[in-house]
Order: sequence, then C-alpha cells, then structure tokens
Amino acid sequence: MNQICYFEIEVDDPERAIGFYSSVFGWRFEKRQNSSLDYWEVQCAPTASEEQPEQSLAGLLPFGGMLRRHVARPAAGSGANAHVTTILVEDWHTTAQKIIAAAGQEVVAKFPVIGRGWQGYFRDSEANLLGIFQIDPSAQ
Amino acid sequence: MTTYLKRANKSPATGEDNTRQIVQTMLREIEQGGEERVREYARELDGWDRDTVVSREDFDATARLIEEAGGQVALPKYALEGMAWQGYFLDSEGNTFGIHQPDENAK
Repeated sequence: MNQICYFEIEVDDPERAIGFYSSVFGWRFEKRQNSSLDYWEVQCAPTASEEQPEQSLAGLLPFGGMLRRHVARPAAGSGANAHVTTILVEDWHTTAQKIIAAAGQEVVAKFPVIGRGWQGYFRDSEANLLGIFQIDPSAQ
Repeated sequence: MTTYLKRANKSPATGEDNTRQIVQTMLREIEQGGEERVREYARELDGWDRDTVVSREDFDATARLIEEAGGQVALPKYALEGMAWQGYFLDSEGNTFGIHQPDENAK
C-alpha cells in the first residue's frame, strides 16, 4: 500500500506516441472499449503483470495508460513534464484529507474507474501531479 | 516489428531424417557450449562474425532508438557510480522519462 502502482502518459498525438513507445521499448497499447474518453491500456514488455505483479494491482489493472492531454503541454524548459504516477491507497478519503492538510491541492475530483476502483488527481507541495487510487470492484 | 537477418527456403528436404539428426546435434552442442557455440555456427554457416544479441538493456542502443523514434535527449547519460547508467529523454509528446541500465562498473 502507498506504493506507485500505475502511470499515465498524456499525449497530443496517440498514434505518434504508440509508434514511439512500441518501437523503442516494445510496449503494447490496447484501446479501452466502452469508455467515455479515448483511453489506451499500456502493457510494458513483457507484460507488467508477469514482471511486477505486486505493482500492477494484482493483475486488476495493466501497469499503465495513455490518454490525450486535456490542456496544452507545458512549454519547453518549464521543468519535468513527465508520466503521471498513481499511488495505491487503502482509503481514498483519508489520503485525500492528508494531501490537503499537507498543502497539496485537488486537481481532478474523485471519480469511479467502473468495476475497478476510485481515482483522483492532486498536486503535491511542489506542484507535481499525482494520482491516488483505491481498489473497489463495486465502483460505479 | 520483426527484421529478418536470414530466412529459410522451404523445400521438401526440410523434413528429412538426417536434417533432424543434424539439428538435434546442433541444439545439443548449443545447450552445452552456449553463446560461444552459436557464434561458431554463425561464422561457419553464415559467415556472420558480428553481434548476435541486440539487448534492449543496452543504454546506448536504446538511446539511439529513442532519437530515431522522434525523442530527444533531456539530460545526457551519466554514471551512478558502482550501480548504473542513467539518462533522461523527452518522448514524442514532450514528456520526460529516464532510462537506467544496471552496471556495477559504471563510473
């Protein structure tokens, strides 16, 4: 618990990014079906669940995802602009309260990843983006 | 994407018994002699005397692939002494990421 369990790559051009990561690292991308937004699941090679079962939510999720940016990419030279990591937590609200108490900020409010759990995004005290996730197969 | 270094011509002779014996002998020798025996066979049969293994664990090879695929160097390769080689790049979308090759001799 409280370990990084997931990463997301935000992109302007999904096809270009798939070309990049598949040619350099052999990663596989699969578009999620029945999703309200375009979202690709990322399987690192070999599959994340074979290599790092403890970090892939016990096979519940693939290790990573890819989605289109919803705001412009930060300008060049504006500091690390990296893959967004998500931290697996025991209790979403408890962690959210701790983040706010520790001078973090909410960026995207709690939302369900249907059938999997609860997700939300925050900025840490240094303005780095991070996600938190609580497993809950009944999340709707 | 698969790049073939060599391809076999399919012919009826492929299935003959002595072919099978030869292949079994080769496989046994490779099992015992490892990569060195593979290199000998490559020299003997194909005249191939260069690298036989392209490892994704090689920092420089991966760095070349990154640049070929539209990535850029963000922070060049440096040694984590006694541990590894590390460097940072920007992917095709401007995201920063690092690559890391364990190497006890790094300095």
